[in-house]
Amino acid sequence: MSTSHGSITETFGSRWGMLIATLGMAVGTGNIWRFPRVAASNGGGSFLVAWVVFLLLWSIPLMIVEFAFGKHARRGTVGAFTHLSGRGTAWMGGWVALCATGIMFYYAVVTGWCFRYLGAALTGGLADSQDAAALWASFAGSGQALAMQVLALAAAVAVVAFGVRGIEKATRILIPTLVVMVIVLAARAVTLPGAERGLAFLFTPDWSALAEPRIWLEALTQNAWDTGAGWGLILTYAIYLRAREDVSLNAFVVGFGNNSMSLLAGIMVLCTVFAVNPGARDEIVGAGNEGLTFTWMPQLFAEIPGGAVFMVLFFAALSCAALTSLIAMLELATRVLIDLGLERRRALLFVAAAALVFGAPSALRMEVFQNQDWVWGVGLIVSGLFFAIAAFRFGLERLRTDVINAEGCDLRIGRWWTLVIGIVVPLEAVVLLGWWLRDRSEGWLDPLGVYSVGTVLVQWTIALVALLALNRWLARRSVGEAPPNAGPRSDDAAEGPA
Amino acid sequence: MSAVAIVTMIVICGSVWGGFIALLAYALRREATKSDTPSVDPGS
Repeated sequence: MSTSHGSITETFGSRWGMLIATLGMAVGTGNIWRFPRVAASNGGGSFLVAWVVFLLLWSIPLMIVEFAFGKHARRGTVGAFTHLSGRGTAWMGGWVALCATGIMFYYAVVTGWCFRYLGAALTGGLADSQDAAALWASFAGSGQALAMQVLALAAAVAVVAFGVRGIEKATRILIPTLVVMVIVLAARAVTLPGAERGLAFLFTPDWSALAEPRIWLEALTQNAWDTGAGWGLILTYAIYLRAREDVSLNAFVVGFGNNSMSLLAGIMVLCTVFAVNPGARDEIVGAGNEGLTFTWMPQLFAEIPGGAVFMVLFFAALSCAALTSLIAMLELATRVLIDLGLERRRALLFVAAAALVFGAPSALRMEVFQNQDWVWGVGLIVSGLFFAIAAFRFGLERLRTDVINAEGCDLRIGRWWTLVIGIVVPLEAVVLLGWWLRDRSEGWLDPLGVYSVGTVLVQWTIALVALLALNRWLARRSVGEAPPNAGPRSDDAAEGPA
Repeated sequence: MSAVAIVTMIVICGSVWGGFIALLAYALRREATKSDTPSVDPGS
């Protein structure tokens, strides 16, 4: 475990362990509850084409940057940005950390919801088709949701307290379990009578839809949100890569692995919907993430033979996906504090206490939850842009040749990557940001609106002013007085456990 | 299901799942060869 400021004394035990942990970070509830809905409501097959394109033009190129930054700098987001792209960019690393931490605050609430429904499924509390809706009505925004948030945080803290080895051990159990459960659920779904209508709905392309910008923007958004690219989470896990570890091939494995899980989840959900209640498909798909997952899915499972078992598997899979992502977010914030000088356990307790305090409003009021999801979800697009800027400042060719294609490289990356990070990703970020703020917001400048531009601007401005004011301190604490833009850290020699 | 939907399903699932399995297998095979050779740490 890393216990002292600035020293990395522990690495992942194996490449398999690292890949499993990073997949666990990437595969979250967004794969299971958002992807099927978005794919279904944006043209099915044509959306999938755009989704695969942006896997290659957003997610994987940014994952390569994150792996390279973490492995080279051996510091969390603040330290890595400072070390690699200059002291003036500590605030950018701080922004990345702040966005991921802001999401972590309410993601603990989501994880708690999953735990609650898993408990209900295990105890037969969702046996009747109306039980799920009744449970959601009484549970969401209640004190019970707060209690489940505490339980979710406690579970994640128990893992992160043991450092990267704790994360590796936990994810070695949770992720294979998750994969098996999703495969079983998808296999059951496609064998239901009428499931082929779900497959047809998902895979029938409407080529004319590819002329609609909205399809491409939705596909890009899905990649930005559910692969974990540009969140800083991959960077955080890459701190613990062994020195001989590859960068680019690992990014491809994680990107394709994440989207493989999304595809399985899409098949599982849509086949179940079309087999059980095809008449309500628009209502189900339009019910939102929580509506689909916590109201409709239990109702659908209640209608199929052996549905009680599959309901348990569904919520167990969702709980595994949520917990492994929460663990990564907790580690990100903890790592930043360790770099700033705190000992791991103290840093972790501080982060957990902050998550409890700042996440509680999201547990108790759905409007707060939705607002935070909006503000920091859109903030992730800026995080992706900051990674591209930081890579540009370091030198894209230098990063490609000296870090990505350096020792341990299993897959050499060509100049296409410098073009994507230097031109395509910034362009995507600007267009996507403009689209979300202009077309997807409700009530332009109302600072108290749940989905307004005003609430985004107010909260982002507060965060940016604080980060800019603290920039010099953040840079000094996280990298010391060493010159930035330097070579790899001299204390990253660990090739195995200390 | 129409023929177009079946072809799209094969292409999408084949590229995403096939790509993942092929990449993972390649990564693990490369790792097996690396474990036979000592590593030089770039930072030391």
